Amino acid sequence: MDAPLDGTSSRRGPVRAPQSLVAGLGLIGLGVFGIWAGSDLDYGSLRAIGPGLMPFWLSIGVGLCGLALAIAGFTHDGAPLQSFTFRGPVVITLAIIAFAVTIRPFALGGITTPGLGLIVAGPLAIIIAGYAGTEARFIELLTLALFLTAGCMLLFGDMLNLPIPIFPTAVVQAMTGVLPARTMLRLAAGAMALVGLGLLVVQRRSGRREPIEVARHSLTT
Amino acid sequence: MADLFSNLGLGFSVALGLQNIALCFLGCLVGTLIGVLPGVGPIATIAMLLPITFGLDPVGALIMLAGIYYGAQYGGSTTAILVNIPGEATSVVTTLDGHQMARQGKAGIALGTAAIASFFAGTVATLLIAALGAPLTKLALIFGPAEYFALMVMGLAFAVVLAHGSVLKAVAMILVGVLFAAVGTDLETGQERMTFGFAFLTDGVDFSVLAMGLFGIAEILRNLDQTEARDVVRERIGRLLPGLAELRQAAPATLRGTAIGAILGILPGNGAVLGPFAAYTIEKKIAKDPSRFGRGAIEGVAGPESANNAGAQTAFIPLLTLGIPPNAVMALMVGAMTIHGIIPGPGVMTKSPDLFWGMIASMWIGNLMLLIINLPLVGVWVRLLKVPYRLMFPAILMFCSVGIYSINSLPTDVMLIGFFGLMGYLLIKFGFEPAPLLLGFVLGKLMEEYLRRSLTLSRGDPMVFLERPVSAVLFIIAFAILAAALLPSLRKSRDEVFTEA
Amino acid sequence: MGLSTLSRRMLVVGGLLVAALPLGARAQAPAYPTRPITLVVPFAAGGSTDVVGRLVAQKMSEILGQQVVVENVVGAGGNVGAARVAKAEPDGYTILMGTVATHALNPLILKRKPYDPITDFSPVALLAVVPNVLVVNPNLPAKNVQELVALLKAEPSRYNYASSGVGTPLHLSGELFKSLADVKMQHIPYRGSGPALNDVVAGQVPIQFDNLPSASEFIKAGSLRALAVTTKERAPSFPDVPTIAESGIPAYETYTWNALFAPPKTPKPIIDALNAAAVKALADPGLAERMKGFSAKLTPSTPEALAEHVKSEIAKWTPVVKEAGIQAD
Repeated sequence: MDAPLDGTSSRRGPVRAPQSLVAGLGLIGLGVFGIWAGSDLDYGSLRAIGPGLMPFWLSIGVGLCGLALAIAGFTHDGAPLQSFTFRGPVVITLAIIAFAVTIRPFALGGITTPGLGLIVAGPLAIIIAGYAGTEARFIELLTLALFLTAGCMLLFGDMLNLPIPIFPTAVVQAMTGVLPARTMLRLAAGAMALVGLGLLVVQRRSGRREPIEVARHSLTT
Repeated sequence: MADLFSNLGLGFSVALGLQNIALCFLGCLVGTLIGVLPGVGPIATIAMLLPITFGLDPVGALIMLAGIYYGAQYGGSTTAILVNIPGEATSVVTTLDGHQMARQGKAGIALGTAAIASFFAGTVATLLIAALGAPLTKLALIFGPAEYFALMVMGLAFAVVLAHGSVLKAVAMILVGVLFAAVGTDLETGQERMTFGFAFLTDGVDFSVLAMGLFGIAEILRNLDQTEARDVVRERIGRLLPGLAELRQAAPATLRGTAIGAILGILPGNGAVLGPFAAYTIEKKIAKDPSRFGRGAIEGVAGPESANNAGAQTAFIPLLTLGIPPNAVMALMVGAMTIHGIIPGPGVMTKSPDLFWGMIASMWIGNLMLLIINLPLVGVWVRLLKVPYRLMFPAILMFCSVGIYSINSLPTDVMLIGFFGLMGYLLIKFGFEPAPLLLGFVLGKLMEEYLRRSLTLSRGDPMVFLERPVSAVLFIIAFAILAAALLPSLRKSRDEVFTEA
Repeated sequence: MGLSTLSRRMLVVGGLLVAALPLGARAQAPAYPTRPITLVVPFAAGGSTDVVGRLVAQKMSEILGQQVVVENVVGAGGNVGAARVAKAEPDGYTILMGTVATHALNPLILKRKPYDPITDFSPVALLAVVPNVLVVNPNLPAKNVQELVALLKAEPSRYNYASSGVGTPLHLSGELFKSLADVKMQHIPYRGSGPALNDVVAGQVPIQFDNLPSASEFIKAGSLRALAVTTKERAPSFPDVPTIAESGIPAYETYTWNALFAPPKTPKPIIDALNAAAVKALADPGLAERMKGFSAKLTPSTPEALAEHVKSEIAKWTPVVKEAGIQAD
C-alpha cells in the first residue's frame, strides 16, 4: 500500500525493524497500564489467590513480550511502519457513536440525548459510515439506509421480537392507544421501502447508472 | 442395541410428527438467519422467543429452540467465511482459513465444505448421544477444577499454534486476551477489577462485543485503507460447491474434527469451545505442509467446522442427562424446560422418554434440514460478495450495531465495538493477529476461575495439578504442543520468532 | 338554521371521532394499561427468578389484556436491572421482578449503593417463596444436620461448601449456618448453581446450599443427599426432608423470595391494578400447579405487607452480612 521502505538494514539509524519496535513499546505501555490499573487489588496467597494476582502477572508477561519485541527492533531486520489513514477510523467511530447515542436516551454528563429509535439511528449510522469511503454518494446511501432499516425493523422488531426501540420515545408516547406498535412498525417499514424504491427509480432515470463493480473489495481480492 | 433402535424409533415417531417437523424447520431457519447476521446471537433470540413457545407442547418447544441453537452455529460459519466476523467463540477458527478461501474466490467451496462437514458431524454426534449419552456422563464427573484448568492451559497452547506469524506476537496477544478477561467483577470476592469506576465494565466485556470490534469493525477499517489496492486482483467467484477432490481432501479432517468436537462437547464446563481450536491445531500439526494453514487450507475449514457442530450437539448430553447447562444457551434451555414443567436432571430420560428421544431424533432431522437450507443458499451468499464494498461496509456496520445493542440493550456496548475496532485496526497495522487474543479472552475467564478454585480446594498445594492423572496428562499434552510449536521456529532461525514467518 | 345544522354536524362528527379514538391522547383518564408492560427480570433467562417471572407475566398478560413482556436486564448480581426500574417513569409500564438479592442482600453488601431498596421502589406484591436446601454428596458420612455439625467440628479446616456465587442468598445461607452452628467451612463460589451442582455430585466439593428447585431432581435420583431445607416449615414437595430449624438450630431460617416492585411514586390506582392482577394470577390453578412442581410456595400479598417484608428481611440479614465480612464496591 505505502511505498515500502526497502532495504531496511541499510537505512540510517540503529532501528532495523520499526514495526517491532513500536509494537513492543505499545505492549510495554499496556503492561505498565495493566499493573497500574490493578494496583489497588489484593494479590492474596497461593491458598486463596486474590483478585489482583492474575492481572499483575499477565501485565508483567505482556510487558516482557513487548520488551523482547522492542529489542528485536534493534537487532533484527523487519517490517517498516505501515501508513495510517485517518478518514476511515474517524468517520466509522463517529457513525458508531451516532448510533449508540440515538438508539435510546443516553445520559452523558448532564446532557441526555433523546431516544430516537432504530428508525433514526439506523439511517444515521449508515449514511455517516458511507462517507468513510471515498466513493460515497448521498442518494445511494440514503436508498440503502431506507431499505436496510425497513428490513431490520421488520426482522428484529416484528419477526424476532428483540427489545430494540424502533420509534422515537415521543412518538411512541403520542401514538399509545392510537395504533398498535406492530401495525405502526409495519406501516413505517412499508413506507420506507416505498420511498427507497422511488429513489431507485429516480436514480435509474437520471441515467447515472454506474457499472456494477464486481469484486472490487478485499473480500474477493 | 435393540434398546437403542426402539428408543430411536420412539424418537423419530415423535420428531416426524407434522407439527414437530414444522417447528424444527422454523427453528433451523431462524437459527440460520440470526447466525448469519453479525452480532445477533442465539442467546438473545432464544430468550425472546421463549414466551412464544409457551403455547406449544414441551417437546415441540424444545425441538424449535434446539433448532435455533444449532442453526445459529451453521449460520455463524457463513459470516465467518464471507465477512471475517466470528459470531460465536466457536467460529473464530473458521475465519482463519475460511475467509482466506473466500478471498481467493473459493467462497462457495468453503461454505459447501463447512455445510457438509457440519452435517456429517451432526449425524455422528446424534448417534453418539443416542447410543452412549448415559454412560458418557461419567466423563463429566471425572473433570474437577484441576482438570478443567489443565484443559484450558492446553487450549492456550493451541492458540500459539493458531498463529501463522511470529510466535512471540501470538503469545503477547494471548496474554492481552487473558488480561481483558480479568476486567469486571471478581467471581471469588465480588471486587471490581480494572473497571475504572465505569458501570458498564462491572460485568466485564462481552465476547460478542470484543469479536465484533476486533474482527468486524477492524476489518472494515483495514479494507477502507486499501482503496488503491482493491481493484488490482479481479478474481472470478469460482465454482459454487466443492468437487470430489476437495471433498476427499476434507474428509479425514472432518472425521478427526468430529471425534474431537464430540468428546469435548460432553464436558459440562463449556469444553465445546475448545473443539474447533483443538481440531485446527491437529490438522495443522499433521499436515505435510503446515504453511498452507492460514492461507486457505480446506482442512482448516472442515476440521474446525465439524468439531464445532459435533460439540454443539453433544453439549446436550450434560443438559439432558445431568441437568447441568454447559453454556449460556443451554442455561436458557433449562429455563425453557422448567417453564414447561420439566425439571432438567438425571430423571428426564426415564420420566419423559418422548421428550428425550424426540429431541435427539429431531437433531438429526434438523441437521438434514440445515443442509437442505444451506446448500442452495451458498449461491446467494456468494453473490453477496458482488455488492460494491462502498455499500457493503455501512450495512455490516449497522448490522453489528443493531446486533450488539440487542444483546444487553446497552448503548455503551455499541461504543465499545468502536473502541475495539480501532484497537483491532492498530493491531493489524503492527502485525498482530486478533484470533489468539480472542481465544485468550474466552479461555482466560474459565482458566482463572478453575485455577483459583482448585487451589482453594487443595488448600494452596499446586501439586494437585500433577497428582491427578487426567490433569497431569493434559498438562503433558499442553507442554508437548508448546514445545512442538516453539522449538522448530527457534531452531530454524531466531529471526523467524520475531518476524513474519 | 344553517348554523345549527353545522353545529349539529360538528357534534356528530366530533362524537364519532371520540368514539373512534376512545384511547386517544386526550382521553387519558382510566384504562391502565393501554400498552405492553415491561417486566424487568434482573437475572439471566432460564434462572429460577426468570422462570417465576415468565410464568407470572404470562398469566398477568391474560388478566390485564396487555402483554407483559419479560426483559432480562442482567448484571452486577441483579443491581443493573433493579437500578433501571428505580429510575424508570412511574407510569406502571416498567416493573421489576425483585428478589431477596436485589432488595435485601445487595444493598447491604455493596459499598457504592445504586439505589435504596425501600425509598426507591413502590412495592406491588410478594409472589413466591422458594426454599433453599442443604445437600451433600452421598459419600459424605453425615446422614443428618447433627452428624454434619459433628463432622465439621471434628475437622474444622477440612470441608468446603459450594454456592452459586459471592453474596448470593445461598452463600449467605451457608454463612448463617456457620455462625449459628458455630462451625467452619471454606466457601467455594461458582458461576451459578449448575456448575456447583456438578462438582458436588462428582464429589469435588462435599456440601452445597442450593435452591430446592434446581437440586430437586438430583435429590430424587439419589445423586445428592438432602440433609435439610432452610425454611421454618418443611417443603410440601419433600415432606421427608427435615428443616434446619428442627434439626437443632432453631433460629435458622432462610429462603429466596420473589416480589413485584414498581418505580417510586407510582400512583396508587396503578399499584392496585398491578397488585390485583398479580394476586389473581397466583390464584390460577395452572400456575399453582407449575409453581408447586417447582417447589415454590405462592405468597400473594398486599403492597403494604411487601413493604414490611422488605424491612424485616433487611433487619434479618444485616448482622449476617456484617459477620461474614462480605463487602464489594
